[in-house]
Amino acid sequence: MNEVPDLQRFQELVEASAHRELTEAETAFIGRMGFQSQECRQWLETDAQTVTAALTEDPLRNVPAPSSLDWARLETGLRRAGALPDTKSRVQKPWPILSAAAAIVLCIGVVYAILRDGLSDAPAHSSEMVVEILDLPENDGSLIFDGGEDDDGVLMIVISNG
Amino acid sequence: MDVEQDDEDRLLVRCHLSGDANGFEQLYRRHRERIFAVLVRMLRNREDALDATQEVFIKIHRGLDSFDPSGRFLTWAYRIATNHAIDTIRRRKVRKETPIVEEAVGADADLRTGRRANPEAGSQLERGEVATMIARAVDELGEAHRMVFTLHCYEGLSYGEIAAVLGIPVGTVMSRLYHARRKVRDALPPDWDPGGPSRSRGRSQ
Repeated sequence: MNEVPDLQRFQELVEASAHRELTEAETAFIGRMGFQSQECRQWLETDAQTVTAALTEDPLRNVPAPSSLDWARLETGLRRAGALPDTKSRVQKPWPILSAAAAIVLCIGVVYAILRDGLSDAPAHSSEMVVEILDLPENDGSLIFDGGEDDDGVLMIVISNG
Repeated sequence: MDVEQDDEDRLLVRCHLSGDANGFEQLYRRHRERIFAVLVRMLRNREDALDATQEVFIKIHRGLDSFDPSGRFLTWAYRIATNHAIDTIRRRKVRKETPIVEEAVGADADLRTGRRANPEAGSQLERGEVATMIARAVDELGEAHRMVFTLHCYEGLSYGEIAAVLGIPVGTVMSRLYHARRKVRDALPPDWDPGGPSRSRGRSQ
């Protein structure tokens, strides 16, 4: 008994929604009847079958997945924004640590040699100071400073571009 | 939509929030294709959709701490994607750009295979003509109608799910979908034959 007026009201409200903003009660009525009433539902989905069939013609129906290159480009942006972990820095991390460790060992060695051999008295024996440029192959770029020939120890600083 | 997958999503969100960077990375890998798919259909442009996917995942990453674990992650992600798509469409209107999809349709090509789509359906019109009509009709839908239409007809979301994604009443989803469908239907010739029985895809509950 009540179904036909409800269907009419349902149709009127859905049609009216194209032209004016519905009240909360009217929207709630559409939602309720759309679920409860078979007739309202059928009317609501009048064009569903035709449109669904037509959409098979839409080239965006089957979206081509992005290529691995596309994803890589996208992920570069995500890494830059800090959303994904930076794999590059993870790989490169050991090298700076290794070179820093090598530099520290070298510095300790130099300081230890200075303390042990007393480089501070070098000016007193400045005549003994010898700078030797070894006969190295051309363009080798190696240079050796010799602190002396006594047995107190020798500090050699080798500068090399090799 | 899968309850088990939803629980795994929530777990990954918790991992991320507890400081595990892999949590977000896994969420991204699970959902990136789905988010891309919904964006390409809303924006009707592949390149825009790729850029938008990146931006949406950055927004998801930044907003994960505001995700309510009592809800579904995918619904929340769809909401971010939809809002982003609406913003992009508005910006595009200002720039008065033409969706690139029309060029592809004009070339009569399926974007994935390079071939014409579904050679059996639609007996009276050339495939390319119908494709052009459909693409143009969807392009011309207003943003509110297009969002509802895309989520239902392409993504298969129910009325209730769309209401949750867009944060609007179910009644509004129903009326918008009705008008969107009618506009697309009206863009087709009256004598167009879909070429067979029901091929309904979208769910209705």
